[in-house]
Amino acid sequence: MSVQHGATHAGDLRLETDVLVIGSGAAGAVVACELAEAGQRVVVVEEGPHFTPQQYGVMRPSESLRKLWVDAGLAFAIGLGDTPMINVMMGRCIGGSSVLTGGVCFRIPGSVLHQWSTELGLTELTEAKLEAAHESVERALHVEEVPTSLRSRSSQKFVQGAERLGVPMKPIVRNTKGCNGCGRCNFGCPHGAKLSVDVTYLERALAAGAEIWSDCRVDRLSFRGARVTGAEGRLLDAERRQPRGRLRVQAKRVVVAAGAYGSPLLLQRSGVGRRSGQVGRNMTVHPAFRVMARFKEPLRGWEGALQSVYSDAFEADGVTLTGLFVPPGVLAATMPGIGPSHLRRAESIPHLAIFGGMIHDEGNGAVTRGLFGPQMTYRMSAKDRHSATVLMRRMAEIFFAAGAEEVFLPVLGLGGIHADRLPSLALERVPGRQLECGSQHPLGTCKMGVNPNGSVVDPNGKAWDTEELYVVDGSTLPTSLGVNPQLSIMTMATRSAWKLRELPLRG
Amino acid sequence: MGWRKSALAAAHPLAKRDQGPLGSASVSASEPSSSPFPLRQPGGAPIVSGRFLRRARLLAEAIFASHAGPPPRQRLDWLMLEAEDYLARGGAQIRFTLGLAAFAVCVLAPLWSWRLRSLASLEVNARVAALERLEASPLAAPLLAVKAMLCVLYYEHPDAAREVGFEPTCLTGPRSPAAHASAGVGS
Repeated sequence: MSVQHGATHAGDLRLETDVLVIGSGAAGAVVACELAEAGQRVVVVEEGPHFTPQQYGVMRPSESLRKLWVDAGLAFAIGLGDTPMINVMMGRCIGGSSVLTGGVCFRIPGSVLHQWSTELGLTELTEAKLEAAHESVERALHVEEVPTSLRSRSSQKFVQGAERLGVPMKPIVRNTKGCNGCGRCNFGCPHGAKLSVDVTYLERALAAGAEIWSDCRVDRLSFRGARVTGAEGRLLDAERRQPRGRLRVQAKRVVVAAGAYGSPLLLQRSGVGRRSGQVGRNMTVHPAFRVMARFKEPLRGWEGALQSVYSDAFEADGVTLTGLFVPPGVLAATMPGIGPSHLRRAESIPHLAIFGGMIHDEGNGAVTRGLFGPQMTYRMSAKDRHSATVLMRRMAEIFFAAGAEEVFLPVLGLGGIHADRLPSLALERVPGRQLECGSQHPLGTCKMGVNPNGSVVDPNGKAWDTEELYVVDGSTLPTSLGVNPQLSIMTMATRSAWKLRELPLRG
Repeated sequence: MGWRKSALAAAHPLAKRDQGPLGSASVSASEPSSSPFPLRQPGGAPIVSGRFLRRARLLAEAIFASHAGPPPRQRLDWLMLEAEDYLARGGAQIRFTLGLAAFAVCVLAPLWSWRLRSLASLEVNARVAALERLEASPLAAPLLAVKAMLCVLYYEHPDAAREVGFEPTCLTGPRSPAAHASAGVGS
C-alpha cells in the first residue's frame, strides 16, 4: 500500500468509504490512523502533493516553500487598525504543517484548559481527562528533550544573556529520534529524524488499510438534508495545481481536518454554520517576532537544533520566547541597506544570533472567501500590541546582556541599534504597519463551544446543525494556546477519534 | 521575450561555470528549479509577466551590487528564473501584490530622489542611492516586499552564499542512511 496520487490518476475518481478525512496534517493523520486501526474503512484526501523525506530532504529552502507551503510561503493576513501585515505560513502536502514545523511539542497549558473547562463550559477538556490522549500522542511521536549538545551557538548566546538577567530558560521537547541538529526542520527533515505524521501516523493508517490520496482538492461537502454524504472536488495536476478530473467521495461520516485556513473556507463554500455566522471568525495566530543580534565572534547559528530552548518567564505579559534560526536569505531580507551597504550587513550573517517570541493572543482574525480569492485579516488588540513591545524590549535586553554589539529589532526601517539606544527607544509608538511579523499557528476559525449561536462545532467536534460532519483540527481550538500547537492539535484529534470510533456508523 | 529566452539559455551553463567549492556540497543549489515547471498558462501567456521580471531584475542589480558593480549576469539570469518559478507557484494574489509593489518601487524611487527619470535609465550607483533613500522613507514597504523575495532566492546561489560567509551544510539536504531507514509514508 502507498499514497496514491490524484495528479496521475486517469479520468475522474469516485470513492466510497465509511469515513472520509479531508486533510492529512497533524489532525487528519491522527484521526485516519485511529479509525483505520479500529477497523473502519478510511479515505484521506489531501490537496497538496506527496513528497517522501528523501524528496523534500534535498530541497533548498525556497524549493520547499514553493512546493510544500500554501501560496509558496507567502500567504499573509492583512493587518487591520494598528496591526502589521502578518506572513502566515502553512503546509500544503501529505503530512501538512507537521512536515514543516520545528518539531516543538507542548501540551495544552493547564491555565488554558482551566479557562476552557470553566469559563467556556467545555467540561471534558481538563488536564486529567486529556491525560491519556496526551500520553498516546507523545508515545507515538517519540517526544524527547533537546539535549544541550544540540544547542546552536546562537541559542547558547541567548541563554547566557538570560542567565545574566535571571530569566529562566527551559529545554524544548520535540518529536525527534536521532536528530543531528542540522537545523532545517522547517523545510522538511532530510534525515527522517523528525517524526512528522507522514512517517508515523500516516504509515500506520496505510498499514491498517486506509487509502490516502494526494493532489485532491475538495470544493464542497455533499448533503442529504442535514446529513453529510461525502464531498466533491477536483484532482489537481502535479505542477501547476490546475484542476484535472473530478473527485467524488461518498462517505457515511466526514471529518474535516484542513486546518484553520482550509476548514472554514470549505464549510463556507458548503453553507455550513450560517446560523452562528462564526465560521472563519475568531482566528488567533500567535503573532511572532524575531530579534537578531550581531556578535563580535562568528557563531554560525545554523549549526545546531533549529529550536532547543524556550522561556515562559513572561507569560504574564502574554509572551513566550523560543529559539530558532532562519536561512541566510531570510536574514538578509530583514537587514537594511541596498547595494554595498546591504552586502556589508549580509556578511555579518555568520555572526548573527536569533531568537523568536510569540504572543498569546486574543482572537481577532478572520478567514473569508474574498472577492479575489481566500483572504485573511487580523486585528491586534491593545493588549497584544503591548505584548509585542514587551517581547522586543526583553529580547534585546537579553542579547545585550550576552554581549551583542548590535541588535536588530523587527521594526522596518529602524536598522541596528546599540545598547545605549534601547532605553530611549519608544517601541510602543512604532506604528503597527512598521512591524515585521509572522505566524505559523493560525487557529480557532471553527471554534468549539457549548452554544450553537456562538460556535461552529459542539464539544465533540460535530458541526452544529449537521449530522455526521466533524471538524477536527486547529480551527476548533476555542482560544489561543500561547505555545506551539502541534501536540495540542494532535491530542484533541486523538480525543475526537476515540469518541468517533465508539459511534456506530449508519448506512 | 528575448530576455526570457536568453535567461533560459544561460541558466544551465551557469550551473557548471559559476559554482565554487561550496557548490560541490550543494550542487542542486545552482540548478534552476524552474525547468520542469510549465511557466505558461494554457492559452500560452506567461504566468509571471515579463514586465515584473524586468523590474525585479533592475532592483536585484542594485540590491546585490558591490563596489565593483552588479552581480554577474549569469547569476542574475538564474535569479530571475527562480523568481519566475517561485511566483508562478505562489498564486494570483501574491503575484498581483508583488507586481504592484515592484511597479510602485520603480515609480517612487526616482521621485523620492528628485529625479524625473525612470529607474531603468539610472546607472546602478544612482539606482542604489535612490533605493536607499526609499528604504529609509515611510514608503519603504513595497521595496521591502520585493527585496525579501529576491533575498530569499539570491542567497541560495552557492556563490552568493559563500560571499557572505554562509556554508549551508545541511540546507541542501544530504541524504543520510537514516533517511533511507525511515522512508516515509507510501514510499
